[in-house]
Amino acid sequence: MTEKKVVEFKDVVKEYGEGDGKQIAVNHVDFSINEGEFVVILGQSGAGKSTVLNMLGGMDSPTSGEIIVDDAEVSKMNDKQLSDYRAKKIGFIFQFYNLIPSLTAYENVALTKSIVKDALDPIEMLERVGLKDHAKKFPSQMSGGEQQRVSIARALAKNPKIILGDEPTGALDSETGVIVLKLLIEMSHKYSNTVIVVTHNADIAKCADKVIRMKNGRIREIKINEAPLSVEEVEW
Amino acid sequence: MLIRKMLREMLKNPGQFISILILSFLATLIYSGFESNVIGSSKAVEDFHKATNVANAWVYSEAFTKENLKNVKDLDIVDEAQLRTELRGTTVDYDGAQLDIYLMDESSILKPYMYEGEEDLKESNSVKFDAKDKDGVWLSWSFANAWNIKVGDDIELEFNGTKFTRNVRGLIMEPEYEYTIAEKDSDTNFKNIAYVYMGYDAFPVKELPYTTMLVTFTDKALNKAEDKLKEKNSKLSSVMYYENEISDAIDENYAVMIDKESVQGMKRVASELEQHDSFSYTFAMIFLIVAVLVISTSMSRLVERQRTQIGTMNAIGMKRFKITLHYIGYSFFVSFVGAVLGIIIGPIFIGNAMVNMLMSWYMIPNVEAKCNASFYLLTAFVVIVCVLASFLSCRKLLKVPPAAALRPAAPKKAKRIFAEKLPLWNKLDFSSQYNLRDVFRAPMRAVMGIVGTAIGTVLILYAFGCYFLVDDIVVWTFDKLQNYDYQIALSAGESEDFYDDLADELDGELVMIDQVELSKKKHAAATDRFKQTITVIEGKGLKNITDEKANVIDMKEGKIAITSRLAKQMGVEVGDKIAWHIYSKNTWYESEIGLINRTPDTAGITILRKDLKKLGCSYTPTNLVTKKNIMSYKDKEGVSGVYDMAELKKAFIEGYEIIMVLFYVMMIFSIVTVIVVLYNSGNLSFHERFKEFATLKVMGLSSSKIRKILNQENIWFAIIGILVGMPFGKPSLVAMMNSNGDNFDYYIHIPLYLYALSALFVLVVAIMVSLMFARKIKRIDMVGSLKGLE
Repeated sequence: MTEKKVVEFKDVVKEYGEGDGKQIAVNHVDFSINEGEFVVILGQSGAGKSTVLNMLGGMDSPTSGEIIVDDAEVSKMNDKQLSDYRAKKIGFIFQFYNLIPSLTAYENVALTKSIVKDALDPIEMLERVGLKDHAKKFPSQMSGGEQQRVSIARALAKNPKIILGDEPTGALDSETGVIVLKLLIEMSHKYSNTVIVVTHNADIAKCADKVIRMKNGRIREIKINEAPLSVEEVEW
Repeated sequence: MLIRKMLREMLKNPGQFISILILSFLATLIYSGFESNVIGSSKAVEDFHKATNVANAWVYSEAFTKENLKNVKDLDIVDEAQLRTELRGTTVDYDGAQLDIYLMDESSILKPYMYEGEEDLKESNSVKFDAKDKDGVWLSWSFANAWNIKVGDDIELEFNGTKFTRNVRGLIMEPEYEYTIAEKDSDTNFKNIAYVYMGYDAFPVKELPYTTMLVTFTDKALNKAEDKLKEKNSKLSSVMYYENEISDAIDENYAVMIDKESVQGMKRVASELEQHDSFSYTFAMIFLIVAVLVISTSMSRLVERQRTQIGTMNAIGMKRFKITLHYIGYSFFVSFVGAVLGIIIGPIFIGNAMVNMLMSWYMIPNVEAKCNASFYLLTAFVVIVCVLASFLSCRKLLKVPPAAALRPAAPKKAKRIFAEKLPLWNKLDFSSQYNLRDVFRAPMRAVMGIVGTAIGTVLILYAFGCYFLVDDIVVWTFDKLQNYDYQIALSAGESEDFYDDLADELDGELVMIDQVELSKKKHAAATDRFKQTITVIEGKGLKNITDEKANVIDMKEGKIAITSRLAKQMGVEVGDKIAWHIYSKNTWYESEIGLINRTPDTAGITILRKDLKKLGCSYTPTNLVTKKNIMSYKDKEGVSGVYDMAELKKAFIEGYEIIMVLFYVMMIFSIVTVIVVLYNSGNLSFHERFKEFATLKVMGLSSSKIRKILNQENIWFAIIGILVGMPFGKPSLVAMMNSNGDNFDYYIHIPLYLYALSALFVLVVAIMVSLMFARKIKRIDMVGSLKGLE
């Protein structure tokens, strides 16, 4: 983990709708995240955490404010630049894995070769998530946890600066969730990927380097965990 | 509330609903359009025949006696019988049009139908036919209409050089002339052919023999014959069943007996309607197959996409029946609207347009497009197919426990496919591998795309085939078969030397055309006899014959040529012998087949003049063809008409306008089919893989790359569809074009470049359809996909 700021949100506002129907999903939000940090954005449903993640992932743009990722201003990018940004800088992990059902685990990971030129070796990535032996299996032949690990391998294969996870353990039982979480922390601490996870599960926050609590579109608290717990130490 | 939901969802996703509506519409539109013409025309023909008391049998002889008539009338099986004399003359004015003269003492059979018309020709002044009228004739309405001859006008006629003027007492229609063509013409031109009914007293030449006996049989006799023939499993018609009885009654004093199946004027209309019937079924079936494929696939997918909504409704306690009814409502509403619109619009536009077009060739009174019960059955069928597809999908989803149905469906299981075993597999790029697996994951969609494009390809080949067919037939008829620029219609009654002198003077070739009866052996059974045309040529290279590929060939001396379709029907080939006799003559001859030839619209045999004479058959030339301008010969002795082939060619091309209409119709159908099918296939593929595409987009795959993935699959379907459709184009077009009666034998040549052009056309349409998805892909909701919700 370095002190280099990799993500900066500066006075970011996101509004939906117009006139009377206007809703403020994200209200003047400021925060920054350093390279290699494992960050948890915590909040209840409707807190605005997913909107923050979506804007950070280049899937949505702010109404005002600046989002700077790795010295590039994401908030000013056009569609093509955003597509390029998502391809090169961001690795996504979805709640429901979103693997391509007609591709094997290996092919799902190898798919990244069609997206970035310098994608990492798919087998190596599967090995990193402990699924080398499952390379030839289709998603329907794997458990939820295994599918999510393939999804992590796929995100890693692009060698992204930032890994974003929207409730990555939300669809898993606690035992499998632990395995996935361990992997994400390992990516951050061992391989220096910045990992940002959005969740409403406060237990996950105990393992994070930084916890950003949100409520009603605003940041309620930003807490630096001087001594984050290991996944095993947390009582799930 | 649920209706509101349905309507909103239709508005939200109009493409798929509209395509189902269009296909339901097309399936019933095409069927009802074509079929309403067949039903309406058949009914009009039936009424026409009834009103005119059409004959059951036509018996021809060199001369019948009144005793012959009496004997026939005395037969139990005979209802009515009547004699008449058939003569060929010309009109004096009106470009010397061909004139068929019917002299008769009475008109109880084939009564002239007084056509009401538009009153322009004072039709209501027509009086009933009177055989005792010495100054009057009853003239064909079609000719009168073409030349604006009114009831009460005088008309000058000519028979074998004798000119006489008679007053037009009435304008008539006659079933034998439902279809008619002057001998000199290659296509119908009502200005060139007239027929008149008149009494013997009104005709200037006396003592003419009775040449035709018209007979109607009693219903009882016809029914009995039908039963007997059924028992014997015989193909003979119930009319021809009584040939022996008639023959015995007239002491075999006849040359040939035929039923209405062999009367060209009626046979042609019957064949045409039969062809349209097969057209309507073929096209309706084609569109029905496409419609059923698209509708069933689309409706199932549509219902499957509503999985969580169905689960929710189920969970909140809504009755299964009500949920099912709601989803059935979608397909019922769309297919019902489409199918009903089709059966309403089909007869009005296509049906009536076809009736109008047909009536420019055929002369049948009171024809209008009509419908029958099959229209409603087809509508019900289309609606049932749609409803069934959504019912089955809905039922499947209702079997899923509500808790499970509330969650997104588990992805379809994928399995290894055959292609993966091929060494090529690893060399394929991601999108190819991905799409190949997807094809196997959703095979019905692939079948729909391929079958639809194949049908589109077949239709476009029809279109091009039709378009170039006109050019080919024109070249075939006017440059190959007819290597001359002018034609003289000869009047009968001159000596052979006279005609020869005329031919020498004009460097021309004499041609004789007559009707013959043919069979494998002399005096064969009626089922084995064929009524066709004999053409006698001199072999001077002006009137030619062509082989099966439409190339000019020389006649073989001492042998005859037979047209290919007739040879097939008779089961004869080169080297076989066949027997034949001219309709009006009783003598049979035997000839060896030396060649199989082909003509676009005349079936029969061709023989050299010298060979005809060697056989001892009398030679009476009907035409003289030449390259010399003979337009000034109009009033010469022995000449009944002169014709410029350039003019006839022009009229012939105009007559083929229907083919051009077919060309445009096929083009439109092809485009609609390809667009609807590929749009649906693309749309289904898009929706089925929506989440996958969204994931890919989130991962950074550009919209253009995703579009490429989606389009690649559709382009594959298009290419495979084109390859599948191509071999079917020509054979089915040939079969359809030639189903218009035994005389037609079009040689349809579709050159390779037209295949390439057809493929290109379909591919361009496919690519254009693919472009329709560009915006959809750009608008993929990545945020929604992240949540993993439907």
